[in-house]
Amino acid sequence: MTVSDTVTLRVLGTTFRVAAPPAVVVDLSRLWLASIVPAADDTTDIVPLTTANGGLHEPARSAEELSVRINATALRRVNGLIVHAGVVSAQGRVIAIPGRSGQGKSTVTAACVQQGLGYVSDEALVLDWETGEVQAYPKPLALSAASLRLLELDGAAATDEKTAIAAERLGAVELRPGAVSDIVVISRSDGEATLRGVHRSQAITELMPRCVNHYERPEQAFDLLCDLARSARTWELSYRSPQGAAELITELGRD
Amino acid sequence: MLEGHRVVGPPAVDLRTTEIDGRLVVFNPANQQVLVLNETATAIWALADGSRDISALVSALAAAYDADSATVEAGVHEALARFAQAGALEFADDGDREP
Repeated sequence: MTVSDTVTLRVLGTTFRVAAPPAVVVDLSRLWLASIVPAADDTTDIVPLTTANGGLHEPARSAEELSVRINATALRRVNGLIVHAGVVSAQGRVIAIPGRSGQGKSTVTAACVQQGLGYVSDEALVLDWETGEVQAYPKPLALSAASLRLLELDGAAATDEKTAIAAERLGAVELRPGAVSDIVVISRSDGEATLRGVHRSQAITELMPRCVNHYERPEQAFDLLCDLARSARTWELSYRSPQGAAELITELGRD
Repeated sequence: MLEGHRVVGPPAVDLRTTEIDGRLVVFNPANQQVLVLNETATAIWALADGSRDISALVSALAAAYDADSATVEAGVHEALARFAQAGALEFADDGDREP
């Protein structure tokens, strides 16, 4: 495969220089628009990625495959606590939506962005190990065919594989999120969307099992999550449609 | 169910505890398990310091809360099972203890 174009991305503190055919670079740039940075020759810590097999990986064939590698590498290298969560922002405040894969956090996050909240991530709340600051992680959203239909987005794949959707298709990306103000624990129900406040300590029992790398620094992870629980409000949200959930979450951003 | 003569506690070493809005939170770094304790569980936790067995713990709680021993015992066993599952407490037979 002929490599004829490059793009440089910065994701969670890791710089990637991607070399790929022009069409793939165009696709990748569209998916990672907010993460594109100028190419800098003096950057010493660059992860090279290529669609050709450089001896490190099987060759990638598409922007989606490269995105998988970018996500995996960025999360492995990040200097922060990773919690599985959708993350949106409103007027400098961050709302985290923790959840397992398949629990609906990406779909609800996407609906929030469609309704005007800023996109931080559909996958991970990343807290700097030292400062606790939230790091923006505006990866392409990974949405199932069912989610795309619910969100009235084109591009539903016929397969079970998720489709990568550029955040900019939905709304605005937030690259400088503030502090977490609200933690919203979601669950599906058949009734109208409801939101109720719960004891702050519940944040700990919700967030700790969603951590990805807390075992690296368990005490520090506990301290970070306790600080978060003390400073943020915690809510339980049951919903039927992602739009109904997003309306209530958007209201939180206006409080 | 643990037998009444089993001594409960002390808490495992290296546990981290803190309070969030009046609730005790216990974290075991060894297995990353976390417990959030309500008022009753906090009282049981405080008594499970290695100085008494389960029967004595039940009696102390029943007296403190002026409650029926059978009800208290069920709650104690439930709480101790949670503590044990999180690896937060040690249990020993009386005979296991140093004099």
